[in-house]
Amino acid sequence: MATHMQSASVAVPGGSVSSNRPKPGFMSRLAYHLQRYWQLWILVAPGLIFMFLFAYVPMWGIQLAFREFEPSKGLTGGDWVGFKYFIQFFQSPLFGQIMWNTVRISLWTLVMGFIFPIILALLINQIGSKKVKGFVQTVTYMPHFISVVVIVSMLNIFLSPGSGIIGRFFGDTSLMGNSGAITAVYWISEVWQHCGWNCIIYLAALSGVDTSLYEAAKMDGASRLQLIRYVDLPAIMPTCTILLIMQMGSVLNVGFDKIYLMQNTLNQTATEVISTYTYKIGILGGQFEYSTAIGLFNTVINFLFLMIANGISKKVNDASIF
Amino acid sequence: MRHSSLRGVKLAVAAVAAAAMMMPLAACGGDDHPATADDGKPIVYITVRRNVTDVHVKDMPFTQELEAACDCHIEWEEITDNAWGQQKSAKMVAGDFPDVGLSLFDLNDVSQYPDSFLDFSEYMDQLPNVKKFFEDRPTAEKMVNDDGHYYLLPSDRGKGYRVSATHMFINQTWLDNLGLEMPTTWDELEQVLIAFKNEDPNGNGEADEIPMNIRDLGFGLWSPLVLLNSTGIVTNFMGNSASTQGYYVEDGEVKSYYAADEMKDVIAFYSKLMSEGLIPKDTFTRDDSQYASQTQNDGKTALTGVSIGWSSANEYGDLVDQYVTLPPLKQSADMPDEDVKWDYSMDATEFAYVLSVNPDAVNMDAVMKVINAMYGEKLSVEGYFGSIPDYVSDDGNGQYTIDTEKAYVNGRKDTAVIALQDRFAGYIPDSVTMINDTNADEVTASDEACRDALANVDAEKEVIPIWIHPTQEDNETLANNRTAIDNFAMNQLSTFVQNGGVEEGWDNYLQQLTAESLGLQENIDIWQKYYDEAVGQ
Repeated sequence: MATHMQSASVAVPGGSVSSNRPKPGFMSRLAYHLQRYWQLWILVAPGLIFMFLFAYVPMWGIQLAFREFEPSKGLTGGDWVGFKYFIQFFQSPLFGQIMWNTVRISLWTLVMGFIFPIILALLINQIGSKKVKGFVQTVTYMPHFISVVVIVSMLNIFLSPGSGIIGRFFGDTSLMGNSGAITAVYWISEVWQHCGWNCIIYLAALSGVDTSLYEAAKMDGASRLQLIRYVDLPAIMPTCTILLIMQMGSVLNVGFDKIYLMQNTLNQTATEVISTYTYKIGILGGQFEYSTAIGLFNTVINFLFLMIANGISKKVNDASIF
Repeated sequence: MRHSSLRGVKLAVAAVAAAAMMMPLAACGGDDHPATADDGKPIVYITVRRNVTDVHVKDMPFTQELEAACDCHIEWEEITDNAWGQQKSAKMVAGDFPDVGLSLFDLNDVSQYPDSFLDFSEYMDQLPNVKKFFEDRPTAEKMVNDDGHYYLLPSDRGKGYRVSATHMFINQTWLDNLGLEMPTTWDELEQVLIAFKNEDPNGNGEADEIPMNIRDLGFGLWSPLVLLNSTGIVTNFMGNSASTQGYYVEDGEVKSYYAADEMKDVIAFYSKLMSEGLIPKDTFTRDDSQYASQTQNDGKTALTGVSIGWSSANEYGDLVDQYVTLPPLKQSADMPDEDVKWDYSMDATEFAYVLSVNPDAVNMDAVMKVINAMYGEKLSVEGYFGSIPDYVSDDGNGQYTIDTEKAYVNGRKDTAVIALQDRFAGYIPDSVTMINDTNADEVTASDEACRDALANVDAEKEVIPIWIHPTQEDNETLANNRTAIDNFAMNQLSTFVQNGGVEEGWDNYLQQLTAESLGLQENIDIWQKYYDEAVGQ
């Protein structure tokens, strides 16, 4: 990001600036800046306005998490109650269960959803024939376009005891009702659905590897595995790091729709996560202030994770997003 | 040169900013409601929730009659059940309430947004038909009475629906084929189910019979937990009542179904049935659509022996002739007849919370005229069953006949397409007799066998009235605790049914259930408080 900005400003046409005049005031500097770079500002204006209107303006409503909600007085008109709803959430008997479910399901999905696309990309990259490669790629990313509702129905059918193609191996009860197996059902189906799609970005990085590197390595007697280890992996490492950092920002985000659709009375002690709980309390129960507080808590934790992951990565291998 | 380009920048920035500001404004504006029409008559805006909208309300002659009665114009907005479910919360937060709402809001909404609901008590003089309705039906009046204020008006769909909403059915043809007696106790039912499983009652040579089919455990409509009535505990599984939240009353004391010993018996019974393969093992995990495909099958060969639903026609479709209502069972043969109860949900079946008015409505006089007209006998009948004479004929003496040829379209066996059906606001008095109301006739037929057991219910002492409505604050406490309680207890009960272990696990379950942090006792205390108040009245 930083290097982009620098190169952009260098690329702006214009004469050299005299360095020995007195330092001008802020307004005149601003005017000068705008005069020089106004085209660039126009260019980013739609994005900035969009961000401001749809990301920053609504943040005004966050104070709802600290207020008693009174519809007649509007979102921000109720009495200030401080951290009441946060404490209510922390003291709820479901708090421990919900947090554990959320972290467990999302970490499994995050880690597995991170590793498998890399492996798949490295494997696809080994395929020599262009036709076969294209075919495999298409087949693996197709499931990405199936809607969540259909995926969950498919899971139900696959896992139905006796008749399902997978369910028939697991006795006379469905894995969908097994609170011990539901996490695995969730992340395996998630990986299966998105693996092919997510590996595209790695394939792009791999296609940029200089072929002379392979040749040089082969000259030195490298085997296939060693080629992967010493040429392919380092080539996609920066991409991996960036993607991992971005995913860390959603460590507490288990997507609502899929887990909600998978929920039933038998597995709900293992599938009640923050998003489903917020839905039940906030939308169905109409307690907007309480669910806002839970949502805000969720976001703060995600933000912390993002910052920590970014910081570690900056220290360890010099790749970071900011 | 420099100056002009600077102004250019300012202009451009201003233009972009202005354009950006206009976008949301443009989205909000444009739907202003004129208060009067071109001819000077007032306009009343009515929003109604419907499940089918093939024929619009504005095209029904019913609307013209209403307009004649109020000397005004009516603008209808129709909204489907699904759409309403998604929009409701947002619309209420935005303060977007129609002049008149039909089947949109319930008492929870009223306690949450008290300023957005008109208090009808000040207008009762303008509503003689509603006044008469309240005099005739004290239960309906109590449902909406909030310290002398009425923020919602109820509807009464008449004596055809004075029935329990839940019935248990059994395949009489199968009983006859195997030469079996109608079961009267749980043990006999189990024996019958075993015979259903093993002796090929549908005669197709395949072991495809599902002896008993149940829906998810819960405290709502058609829950298998209605078997609690066999043990002497009364349920009331419809609408929004203490019972649908899991509470009942015994000897003046409010208790939780979850913690009842009787619940243990019911769960143990179901667990036994499931372990013997008499209830499908995937009951709690399958898709809902599979249930209907098992009860109705192809319309020729019955697959299901026993199940629980609204009416036999509704539950089994074309196979309806094979099924009869299973009279409420005794838990054991030695228990006295009068201890057998049945789901006491007739009040919630007959009455509904329907009509609300926005206190900011401009043409309040016209609104009141519309409402009063709706609660008259003729327009009530037309609102529910269809316009006269197009779909319904007035035979005189309070008798009306539905022309099923015309009124039942799209394969439906009710009038939901050409009338408002159960989304109507009105009062159908007992003096009205409906001919050809198939839904009512079917459910009444299904209800006959339950009448003895229903007569055993002491409504005063064994039922928490459905018209009790806690305050907003108490409702939040109830709801928050309930989320936690249901999450734990429903899961445990389902697991017991699925995997067994009730006997060994029950004490541990009870211990966790009654842990203070779960809030069960807090909820019981809240309901006790309201029950005591209600009884004291």
